[in-house]
Amino acid sequence: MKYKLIGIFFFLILFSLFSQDNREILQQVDSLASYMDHDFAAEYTIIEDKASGERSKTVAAVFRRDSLEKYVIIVLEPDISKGQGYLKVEGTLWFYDPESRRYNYTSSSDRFQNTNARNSDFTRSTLSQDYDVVNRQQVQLGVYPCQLLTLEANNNDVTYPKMKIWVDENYLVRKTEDYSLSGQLLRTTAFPSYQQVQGRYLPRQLLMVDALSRERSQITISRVNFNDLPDSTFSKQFLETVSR
Amino acid sequence: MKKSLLWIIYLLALCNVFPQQDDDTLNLQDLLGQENNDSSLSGENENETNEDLIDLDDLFNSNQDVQTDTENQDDSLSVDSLVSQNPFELSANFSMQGGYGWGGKNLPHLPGADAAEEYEDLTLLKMASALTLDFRISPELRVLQKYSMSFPNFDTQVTEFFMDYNVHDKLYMRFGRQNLTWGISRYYPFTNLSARLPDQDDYDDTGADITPGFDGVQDDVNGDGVPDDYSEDADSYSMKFNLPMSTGGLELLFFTRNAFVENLDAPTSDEVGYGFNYNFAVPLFDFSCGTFYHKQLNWRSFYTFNTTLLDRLEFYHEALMSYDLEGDDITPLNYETGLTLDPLDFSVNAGFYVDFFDKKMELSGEYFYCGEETELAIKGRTVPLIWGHNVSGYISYKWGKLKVSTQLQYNINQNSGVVLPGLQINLLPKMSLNLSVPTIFGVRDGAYYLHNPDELNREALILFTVKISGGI
Repeated sequence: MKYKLIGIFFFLILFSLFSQDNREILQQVDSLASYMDHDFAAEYTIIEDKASGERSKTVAAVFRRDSLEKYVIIVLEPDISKGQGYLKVEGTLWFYDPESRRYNYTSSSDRFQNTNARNSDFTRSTLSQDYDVVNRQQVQLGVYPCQLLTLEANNNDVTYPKMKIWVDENYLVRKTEDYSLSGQLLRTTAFPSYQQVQGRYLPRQLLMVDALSRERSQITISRVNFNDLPDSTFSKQFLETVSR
Repeated sequence: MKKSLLWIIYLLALCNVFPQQDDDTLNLQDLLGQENNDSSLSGENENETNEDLIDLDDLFNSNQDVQTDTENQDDSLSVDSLVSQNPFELSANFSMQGGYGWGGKNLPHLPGADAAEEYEDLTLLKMASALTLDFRISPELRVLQKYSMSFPNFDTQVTEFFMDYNVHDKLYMRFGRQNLTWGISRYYPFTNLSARLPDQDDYDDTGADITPGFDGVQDDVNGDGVPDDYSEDADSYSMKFNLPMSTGGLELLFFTRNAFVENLDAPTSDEVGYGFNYNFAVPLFDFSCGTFYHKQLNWRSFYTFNTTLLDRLEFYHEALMSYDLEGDDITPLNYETGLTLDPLDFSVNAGFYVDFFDKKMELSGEYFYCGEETELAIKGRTVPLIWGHNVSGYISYKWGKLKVSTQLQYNINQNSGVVLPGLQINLLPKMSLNLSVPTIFGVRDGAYYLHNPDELNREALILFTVKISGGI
């Protein structure tokens, strides 16, 4: 009996170390993909290959203030959507339509402009808050030795209830797979290249594949800036002012 | 001790029971290998681009060093660069709608209809185009001009012409002709206060409503020789000041329109309305309240509230108070039946919007009680607000290029309503085929019958149209 207790005790210690280690990995990932001390601005170009063979291009200006969980997105292309905007404050997302000059609520889990990107993809990373690591493996992803983490959401506010993420030795996410609650693969995202701007890391290009429709999206992030933005940027008035 | 070690091994094994990731079965390359890499462009998509996607098969097979971006910092994005990167922008859009409609004026199912059915058909051809010039003179100053032309009347007008001025990103001013939208409801925009039109007391000998803006009748209220069509023409002038406060803010508005002003060169203070709209937006809900007064209109105040439930269902509620400060020239619209007019009126609504399957299916509904008895006409809408209890609903579903929808609006007090089932197919780029069956039902003297937007006043018709539209 004494040996069993010792065994359980050692297991708990090991399990605790394992969990803490996993949590630290997620925190490192979050810290690299979140910019809590500065605002963030960049231009996102999304090229989408539809299952029908058609190809579309969407360009958007993204402004983020991660410390207050806010972002603003202004659609610059295509012409038909030009001037449409999104304003996110914590868990709430407003959509601005320049034609009707109205603001509507929309969901973070919805597709962004009918692409494979979700509205939630533009916010800061909160993996360590929203997910628990249920498995970890050391794997090789091409030339990158990675930690493969299997995650399960601990709340209902996330877009995907289950995920797998490949994290390289520098804590950069190289690949993610997003699953439904039933375990159905919904989307795969690859982060083949990163860029370092003003000392911070962010993807240069990423590729998303919808597992159900086979549609592919390539997102290129450019014109990155970490300078402070005016407070009024994160207001409804800003959307109306800059839309054209 | 051996047992304990076995325990530990067993428990650690349990921790790894979760689905084992086998790179050979779920990796991206394999997944993409099933893709048809022949993504030849159709050449028909309006957003077509010739940029190449990255080579998917080699994504992780070569180490791509992190690139340090220092050379292009001058080109980085900022608020100033966003508004000044294209200081001058010209855009244009065009739409053409042609079709054929066949329907009847006296349908047998309607109470009071003649036994003899009368069917008429009509062809339809409309065109409209607009040209917009947008000048970003500096980050502070912007000027926008929008001109439009329509066929068959060849009406040309300045739809919008305004300037924006930004005071240190703290105060925003917009002055000129502009489209203003207050309130939430799309079915019954009773809180969009600047869109209210005055009653004109215009009835012909038969009692029919010939208020300007209804049924194409035009008047020349300000005597400038130009007919004033309240419902269609751009005729507004306004100055608004916006003070952002957190996500929302305060808007001060000074507003008038052609029909309110005798001499446009020198409007008097009595001819200009004023009000404010304060928006308080937090993650849990969005609240607005405001008021607007113009000497030729009742004084109105309102509030709106909306929130999102279960991250999917948008719920909204609005309320309005209207008071006739002048207490004169109150005349109900001709479909009113002997109601006692009260200077103080209240209106209220509640509605919802929800979508499913990535917005493929949309569903909305609203209940609206209209307590107002006068000034029920709304700019740009054929059917005015209708006193009493109103319900409306909309449902649509999209299958690829096909969309089916049905919209219903019904006034309970008058037993008058309209239902609009429709089908739309986007077969070719910039072209859609539409089939709809607008049907007015209920009593013959109901508001939906009296304000029938159909040229021939048909109660039900089958309408087939082709719409070609686009913009650059």
